[in-house]
Amino acid sequence: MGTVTYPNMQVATLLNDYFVPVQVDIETVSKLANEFQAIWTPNLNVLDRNQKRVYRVEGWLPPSEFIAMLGVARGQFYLRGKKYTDAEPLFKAVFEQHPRSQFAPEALYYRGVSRYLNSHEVDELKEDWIMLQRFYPQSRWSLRSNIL
Amino acid sequence: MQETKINWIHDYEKGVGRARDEKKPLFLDFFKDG
Repeated sequence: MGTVTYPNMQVATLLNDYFVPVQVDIETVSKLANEFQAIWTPNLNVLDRNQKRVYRVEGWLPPSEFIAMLGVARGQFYLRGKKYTDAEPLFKAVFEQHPRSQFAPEALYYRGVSRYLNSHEVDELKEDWIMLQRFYPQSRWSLRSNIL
Repeated sequence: MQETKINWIHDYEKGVGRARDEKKPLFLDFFKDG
């Protein structure tokens, strides 16, 4: 992460502008690592104001995937805080701006969830999940949306 | 090209406080040195 992804200017700008970035050596913070069940690095966590994890990724990501991941993570931060109207455009931006990313189907899935939880209109959920099944049929997120 | 560096905080509790003050998500990276 430190040689390719973190030096990327867009990655750095997103982390500085929209997150509080904290980096700790896993071998020097064993209690904290245990609390977060961090056994493998890179181990990337996004926490809410109560220090509850709202998103986690293990393993290396190239800059383009990392940027898409940050969009999903920001969406989850607002979604888990029940700020659905703040979450929805963040998920939307991921699949519109990074349609080939591994995070795009997940973003589409949770965009539907955000819209439904905000409006309780099942048609809004259906709209996104039908698009998910159409454009990402092999995705595990498509499988999870297959109840419609 | 101008380089932008991440403003890492290397103290977890300090980061928690700042995240609360700024109402931002905290991005926590556990890394292994070397």
